[in-house]
Amino acid sequence: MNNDMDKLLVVPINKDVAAGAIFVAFALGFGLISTNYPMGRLAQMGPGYYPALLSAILAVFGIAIGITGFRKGAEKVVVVRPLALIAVLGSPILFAATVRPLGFVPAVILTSLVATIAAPRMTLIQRLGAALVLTLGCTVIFILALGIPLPLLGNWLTF
Amino acid sequence: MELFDNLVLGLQTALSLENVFYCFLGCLLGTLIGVLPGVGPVTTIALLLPVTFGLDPSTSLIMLAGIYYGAQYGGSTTAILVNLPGEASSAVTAIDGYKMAQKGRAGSALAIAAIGSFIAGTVATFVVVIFSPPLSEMALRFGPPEYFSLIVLGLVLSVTLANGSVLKALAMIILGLLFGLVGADIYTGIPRFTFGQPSLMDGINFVAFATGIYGISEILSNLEQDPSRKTKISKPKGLLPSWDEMKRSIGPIFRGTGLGSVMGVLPGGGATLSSFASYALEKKLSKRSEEFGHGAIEGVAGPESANNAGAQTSFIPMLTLGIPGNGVMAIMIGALMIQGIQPGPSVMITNPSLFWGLIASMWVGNLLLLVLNLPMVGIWVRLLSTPYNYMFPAILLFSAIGIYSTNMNGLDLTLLGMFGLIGYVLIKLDCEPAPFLMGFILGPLLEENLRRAMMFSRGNPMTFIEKPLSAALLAIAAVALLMLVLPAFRKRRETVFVE
Repeated sequence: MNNDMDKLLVVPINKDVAAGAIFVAFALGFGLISTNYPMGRLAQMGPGYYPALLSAILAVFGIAIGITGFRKGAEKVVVVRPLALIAVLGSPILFAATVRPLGFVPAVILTSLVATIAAPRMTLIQRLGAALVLTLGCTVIFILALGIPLPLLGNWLTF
Repeated sequence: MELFDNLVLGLQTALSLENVFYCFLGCLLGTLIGVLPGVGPVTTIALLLPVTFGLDPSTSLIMLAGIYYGAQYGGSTTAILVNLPGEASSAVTAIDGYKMAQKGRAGSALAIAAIGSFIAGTVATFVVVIFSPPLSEMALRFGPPEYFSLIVLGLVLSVTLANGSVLKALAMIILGLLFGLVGADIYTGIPRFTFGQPSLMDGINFVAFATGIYGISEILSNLEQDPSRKTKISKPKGLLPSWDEMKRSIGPIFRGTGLGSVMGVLPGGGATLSSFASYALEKKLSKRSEEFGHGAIEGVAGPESANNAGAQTSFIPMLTLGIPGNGVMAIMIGALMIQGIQPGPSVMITNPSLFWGLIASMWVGNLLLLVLNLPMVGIWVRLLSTPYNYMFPAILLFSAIGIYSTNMNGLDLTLLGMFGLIGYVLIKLDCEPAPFLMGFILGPLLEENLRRAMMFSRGNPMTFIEKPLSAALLAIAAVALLMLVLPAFRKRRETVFVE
């Protein structure tokens, strides 16, 4: 198991085609939504005019980028492991979800434990140690020093 | 003697006990975070931005400036000691600085970097003092068409910051402009792209955006490799440079200062271009050009001075025109707006103590860095040897708590994750984040001036060309764009970035 972790996750990606597709997708999304807003005319632009214009330009750029990609082909790209990705992106959201019901201290403990999932080779003791130190540090810095008005323990844990 | 009065007002503000303390704290925290491998100034400022919210506007801006200088110096320290520059401008320092460190001369390299930065900072402060008032006076006479063209120019020039495809950088700008539009429309109040979320009416939380595309995506990039690996550090022995090293550095320091002061003012310029240009210049001028790349102290002294001078003079367009020349300044503008100050030429008149206080604090900050960093090198070295698997949860939590505390709104942390993902994916696809951030910041301003210009001219787009100043700005933008696309120039730009 540990040896697998040393290997890098490599995926073949055609960078230009992928980037072009992402830009076109955003252009379509923004463009379609902006058609819901009043367009107005050039002398009196409505809220939809400018975003629609930008979306059109973005779509053109996206297509142009995609076309240049077809001549190049795919490259091997090192990417982050999915588990690490989820742990990193999810831990702020976990904090947001738990800080009110559980309170600051449990939320920080939970969040730091989840964050360390992104580091595969830590022992349980190391993870708990990191969580403990972080909780102490964050409580001192944010609650005691900066005085952020968050309850140390939330509604669910106080009776 | 108006200049003198302004300086006195500035020094009074900057030297108040509170401001000196926060400037010091900013330098310290900036260095502390900036010294972490792979964390550049933009990331550092974005991460620390929430800390400054509770302060009054002048103090918070002074602290942010302190964070910026600290982060830059921290980045140089990392570049010299472990060859891991956090951003492009200290990549140049790593070339010769790391070689010096391997030869046991890390102390000299760090000391020369600090001394050079201090000299450059002192000179650049005066440049800012002298050139800001006339520029903002000129900008006050700008109408909507001129402002529109100026923003377009700023955006186009920000493409020069991005290495790689011009098309991708342009697309990133447009995407940034679009994300900048989220919120209530300025004229009708109609909510745009808010998906019914009331908290999005004021736009996407700027800190969540910046921290996501810089901070979170950086963590993801670093986690591609096993985070428990250890970095190799060359411990500095002795801090004082030899007499010979001092003598060799004087010329590069002053040339770098001059170069950086000029290039920093240009939109899209700032620290990065200045340091590259200075390295190239010193290599050309030196009688020992063969030593460059093998630990020539000139290769540290010049670029370090240049990037500090450039960092400082890049405040000029931000303070006087409200147009950020680079990513750091984009964040500064965001910070000003969060403090309720509309950046632009009127800041100097409406908030003179903020304006001059910030400028005076630049010099104070540089002085503090000099006395702060050299004695504390040992601590930075120890910090650098902390494995990344203890670092990233801390960075992650700090930014999450910081952002949450600004609005007490959980949606901001979802946005943080979302922009982290978008930033990471786009960076993997060779799309750089700086133009994205610039577009995001300038999006609303660009729209407002476009719509006003169109209203005033009754829908005649020729207004941008008929007004001479606006036409000139657009012409410069067009030439810059053409030069980026032309093959001959493109090759030169690529070689500059590869160096």
